[in-house]
Amino acid sequence: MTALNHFLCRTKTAFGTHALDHLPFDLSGMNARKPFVITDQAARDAGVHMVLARACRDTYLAPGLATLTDAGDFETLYHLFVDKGYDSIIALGTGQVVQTAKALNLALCLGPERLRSPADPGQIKGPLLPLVYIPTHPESGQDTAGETSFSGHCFVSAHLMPDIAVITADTMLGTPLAAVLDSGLSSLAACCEVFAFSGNPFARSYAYAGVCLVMDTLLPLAQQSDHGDLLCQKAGKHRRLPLAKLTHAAAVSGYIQSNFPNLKTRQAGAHITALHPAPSATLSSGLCMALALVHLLENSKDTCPWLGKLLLPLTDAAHYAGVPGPGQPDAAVRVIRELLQALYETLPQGMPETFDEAGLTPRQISEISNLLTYAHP
Amino acid sequence: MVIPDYYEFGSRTHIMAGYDALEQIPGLLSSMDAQNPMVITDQGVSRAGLVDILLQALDSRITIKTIQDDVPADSDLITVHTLAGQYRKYGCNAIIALGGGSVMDTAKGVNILVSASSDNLLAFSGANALTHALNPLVAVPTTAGTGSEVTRVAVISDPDNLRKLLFTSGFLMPDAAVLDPRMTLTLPAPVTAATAMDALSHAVEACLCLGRNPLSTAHAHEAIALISQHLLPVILQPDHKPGRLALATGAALAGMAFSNSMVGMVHTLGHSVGSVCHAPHGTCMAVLLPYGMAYNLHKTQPLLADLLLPMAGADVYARTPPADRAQKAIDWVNRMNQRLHQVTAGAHAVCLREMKSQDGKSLVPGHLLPKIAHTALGDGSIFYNPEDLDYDDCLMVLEAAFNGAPLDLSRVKKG
Amino acid sequence: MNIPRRSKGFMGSIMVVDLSAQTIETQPVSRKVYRTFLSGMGLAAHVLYHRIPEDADPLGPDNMLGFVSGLLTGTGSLFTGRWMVTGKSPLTGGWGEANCGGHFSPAIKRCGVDGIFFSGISPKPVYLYVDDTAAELRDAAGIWGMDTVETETFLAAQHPGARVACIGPAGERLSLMAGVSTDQGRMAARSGLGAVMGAKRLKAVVLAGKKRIPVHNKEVMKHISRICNKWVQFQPPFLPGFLTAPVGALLRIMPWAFTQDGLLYKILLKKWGTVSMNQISVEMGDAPVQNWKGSNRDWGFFKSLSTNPDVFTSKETRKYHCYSCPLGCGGICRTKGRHPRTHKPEYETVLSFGGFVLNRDVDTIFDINETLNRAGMDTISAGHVVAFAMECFEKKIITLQDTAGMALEWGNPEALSWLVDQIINRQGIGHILADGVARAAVRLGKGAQRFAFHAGGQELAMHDGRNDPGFALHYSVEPAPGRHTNGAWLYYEMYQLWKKITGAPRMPLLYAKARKYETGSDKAAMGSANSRFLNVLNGAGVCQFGAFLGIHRIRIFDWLNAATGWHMTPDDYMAAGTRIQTLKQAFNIKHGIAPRDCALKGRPAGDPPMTHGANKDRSIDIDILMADYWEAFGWDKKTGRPTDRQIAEVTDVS
Ligand code: SF4
Ligand SMILES: [Fe+2]
Repeated sequence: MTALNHFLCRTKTAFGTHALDHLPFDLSGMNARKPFVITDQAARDAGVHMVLARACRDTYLAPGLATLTDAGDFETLYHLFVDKGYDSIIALGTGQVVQTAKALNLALCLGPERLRSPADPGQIKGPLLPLVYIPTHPESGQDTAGETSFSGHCFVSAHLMPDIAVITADTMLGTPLAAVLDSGLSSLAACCEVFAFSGNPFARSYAYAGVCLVMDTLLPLAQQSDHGDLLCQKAGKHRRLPLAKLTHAAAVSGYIQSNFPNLKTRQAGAHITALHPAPSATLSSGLCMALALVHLLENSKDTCPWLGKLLLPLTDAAHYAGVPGPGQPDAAVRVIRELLQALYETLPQGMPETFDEAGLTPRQISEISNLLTYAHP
Repeated sequence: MVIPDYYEFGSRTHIMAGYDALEQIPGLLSSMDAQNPMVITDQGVSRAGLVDILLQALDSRITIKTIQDDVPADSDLITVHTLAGQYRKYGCNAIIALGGGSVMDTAKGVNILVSASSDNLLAFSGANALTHALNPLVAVPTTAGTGSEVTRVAVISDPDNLRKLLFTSGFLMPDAAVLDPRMTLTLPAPVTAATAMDALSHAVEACLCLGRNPLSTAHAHEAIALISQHLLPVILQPDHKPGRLALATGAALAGMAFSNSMVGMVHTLGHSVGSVCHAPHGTCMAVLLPYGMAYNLHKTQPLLADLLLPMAGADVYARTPPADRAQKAIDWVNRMNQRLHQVTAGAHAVCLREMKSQDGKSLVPGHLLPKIAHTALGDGSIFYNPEDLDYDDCLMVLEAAFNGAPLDLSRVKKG
Repeated sequence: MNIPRRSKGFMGSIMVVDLSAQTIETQPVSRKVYRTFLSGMGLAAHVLYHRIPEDADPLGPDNMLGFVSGLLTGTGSLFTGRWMVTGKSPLTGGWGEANCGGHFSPAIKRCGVDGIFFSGISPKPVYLYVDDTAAELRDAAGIWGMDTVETETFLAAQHPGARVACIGPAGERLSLMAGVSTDQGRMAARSGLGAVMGAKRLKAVVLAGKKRIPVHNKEVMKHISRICNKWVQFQPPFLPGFLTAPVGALLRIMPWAFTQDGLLYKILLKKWGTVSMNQISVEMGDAPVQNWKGSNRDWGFFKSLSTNPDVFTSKETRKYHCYSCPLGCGGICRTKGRHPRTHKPEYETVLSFGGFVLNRDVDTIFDINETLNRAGMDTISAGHVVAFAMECFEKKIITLQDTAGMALEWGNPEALSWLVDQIINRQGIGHILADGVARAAVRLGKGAQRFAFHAGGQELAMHDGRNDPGFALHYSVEPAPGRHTNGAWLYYEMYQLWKKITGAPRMPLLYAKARKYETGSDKAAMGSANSRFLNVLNGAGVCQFGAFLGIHRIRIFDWLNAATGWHMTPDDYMAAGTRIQTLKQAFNIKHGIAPRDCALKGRPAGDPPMTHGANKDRSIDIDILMADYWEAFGWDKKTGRPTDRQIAEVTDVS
């Protein structure tokens, strides 16, 4: 264990079928009577807001609904919220919806000026208004992390983490395979990195669950997709549950990223994305992170004490215990490689398996490679 | 991984665990805009010099307004009300709770009153009666067991009406838990053993009970691994800082796990032994844990088998045939108790009959077992146990645990 | 449907005790029976239909008395501690049932059976004792004559850990108002089944079985229970301060009615218990006053103030929960009367001995409550009989000579206590009154019938059909008539069945009050849904107060599937409810009851209409309501008789 392990996850995760049924109790427990629901057009079109409305029926909560169409809506939302006297925010959606919800929360609690000219964007003291996060897609962990960016400024504070993340198959929407892979791989990379390189048991526990969730769902989901077509909601429940699990993993990776802002895989991912100004579907940041992860693990196979243990969440107890200790790091890396290979085969247009294939020059690769080492005990 | 129909997992306490964790407190408090804390602790803690260590670690950025060190062993209403008065009198705006379970509970109770500006704690008892965040509360545990530094419950007794008031609410989770090995270095071996086994029982039950889920199980397994690896070494070498920190960490992890998945019969029975006989909680847990596991064996075989890995390590796990792993995990706990018995020179009891008070008197007289079994039926945790328990079942388990005899599995009624 | 190999949720057999022959046997019941009629009340209807011959004297050896538990009892579900006593009712001559809470219900199942049925008559007083090794009839000569509390205390001391149901002196003396008591004063009171037990010389049933109750999927059971419990603990944000007595008045005055959400009632129940309704009911016209002739004008706010809910909670020393109940509407109270403690009087008791007889003395109510509980007598029927006697006294049908000089004036607490004692002891005028209002009116003659209010012989309860005609319908139309638990429009609103089943009309949030008093096919659909659903509840052993939370909050159908491993839809379960209703109706037909005869008559039906008060000018088209209801079941519109095919369908099951 390192000298100081600290960990903070302000978010309560509620997961499962009918998980929304429990939301009214949680809201009333936070004294929220009039939640303001922000959603996007896709969710609205799919009628997901009705699922939420059904859960709130007969509970004497009086939710209001606003659909986000473009960023210019912010002022409108702000005034709507203030004028109608809402007391809490529900972000029903992923990505933009959540970033807006967090920014709105900041504006409401600290004053809108604070957003426009953030003198000290890092110093945000809570508590903010209750914020509930109900994702409709798996994403890359940004939603549950304690950060948001608004008109070019980045705000970081654990208070920005949602109070509750309600993750349920009932609200999952069709998601393109590329986005599924992006999310799954970035969660995997973040969780694996923390599990393999951090001695922080609190973070490791979350990471463990995150890795298990990805390993459980990512490949089957990819194999089920019809050649990269939309994983369509109509396709039925059997796809929505694994999507929800993957979203769960993404949420977990968000908690972790909040506590480990300097993940190497993330940095490398950003670096590569910067080299490729227009990241195509074949080179998503999730994939970059996964490639970086393999690299990172290879680089530190002999120095990192916890790497072998990674085999446990990647496979299962029987498998892990069956591999003799010294062989475990190799086995772990192999599992990840095999996963990437198998994913590759599900994609008609292919997917780079190495930095080389991704089109990086040898110089760039060595740059990144330098980035991807841990100086370790 | 089997995922239940629905589950929740949340633990919003900011954890600080490390060799100089105490030094983080000023920063923590100032991030919460609370520079004027009150310290709540008990005589034992302050006599052990822990308050001094704490004070040394805090720098001039914060002013401790008052130190209250007379929390009784069983937190009660009167103390809570008095301390709330002190808090107001000294104009505090935060609490540092330094101690074990009862100090934590008292501090939580005080925090309810001062945050709600109320004088009636009763109004907040029960489940989810709180609807607003409380004032800053920093928990510094001085035992590694109860996990109260991360749980959402508080138990406060109401001696006038001979009852215990239970408070549960997400808001009762302390804002921060500071785990510093300096706080447990001087803990006597038997107490270390008992409290660690309490934590172990939290972790094990978290894996077996109704509310278990992937996150709570991950926390529990991590906790089990830490406790199993470090408990014996720490008993043998009490001032081993890394070991102490590992145990404190394990206890907090176990606390996070069980407060999200609930506990079952080990606590059902343990609470009852505790309340009928005034026996220390940790020891009761240690004795009852293997029995609880055995009783639920037929319902939780695969879950118990999974526990063998964090308990005994990969080698033992791999060597044990899959069908025997669950039983082996139970045996492992039994053996752990035995070894603790040896290394504490018999102070760590392995059966209820052996539990002794400080003056050597037997704590759990056999004739009280029926009364204990009866009390157990009224405990809420009985609902979450995988297998049902009625009066006879409780009594059967208690009798076995009393004598240290193995549980006769043929007598477990399988529902 | 996949059929589980062994029974799950239910125990799969019944115990049959022949008291004449002193034999006891356990008989298996086919799974088909459970599928068709569930357990509990449905199982009892099935057993009793076939085994009680049509000319059986209710107090004779041919009548059978059944104690049944519910299908969900002991399965990890909530609110499922209700058990039922069933048999041919000596009051009505037809189907008799009485429902009770406490902790007796799981005890039945833990003896390995879903019901215990008694036939014959024991030559001497006995009690039945069952544990895991034995089932035997034991001598009860020593306890014959003891009151219910003494009996239970005595038997509990003899058999530690056992659960007891017993009769008191009222049952022994064959009062047709006698019930069966458990937990020292929870009563299965109605239908006069305590007299049947007394006639059989069965003093008590003592159960100490320890068997496990099998469950198909316990985890799912508990998950559903957890969310149900969240609803019970949930306090909707806007509520505090909203509901106080004036609300009742408001409900009376407004031309609009809100569809009631049971969540509100839950909050009242949790805080006060059923006594929460003491004042609200009077104000809104739900509580009958002064033997159905008075109104809220005669029993205004200040008169009912002495029975305001806080009076009851202030005497409460602890809360009382039935088995597996997270709500706990009951309580144990200190009293000033002859006994130190009593169960918190229920709304029905308070009104029966309060507004219904114009009594303002609460201490008397507490005392009478405990006295009747100990005697083992129904407080509702007793209240009716007392009010009836008071009116007869007013009308000089009963005179001071009949009462040994005690003036039976309205609201006189002394007269109340005296009369209750007389009735329990069957002394003087009490002997005439002890068998209910219908018989008392016949015995008194002189036109006393005009003041005797009952449905088919069963005294009515403290809910006024003129305010909610659903009560009137269900008082009249049910195989076991005259009780408030059968159904009402209010209950229909609270069950919110339209959320889960087909054919149940959805209630709008707000509707013109006048609609409540109209008849029509929607009323028939509501009424039949009430009856069918109640049969499911009674088959499952669920407390009606739990069901008031609304079917989307207390997921009974899901519990049933998880407990049994069946895959039945809510509509399938409601169909079982229909079958049970048909079977009970067939029982009555078999025993020569003309369903029409149970229709409310006189004041409770608004004939003549009230001239003042909340229910002014209201009368009930009871015939139309009943005919429509029967039609909804496909029964004969005029006679209430199911078709031969319908009868065959439910009687050919084995
Ligand atoms: S609500 Fe009341 S009557 Fe119903 S089960 Fe609970 S305590 Fe018993
Ligand atoms: Fe504990």
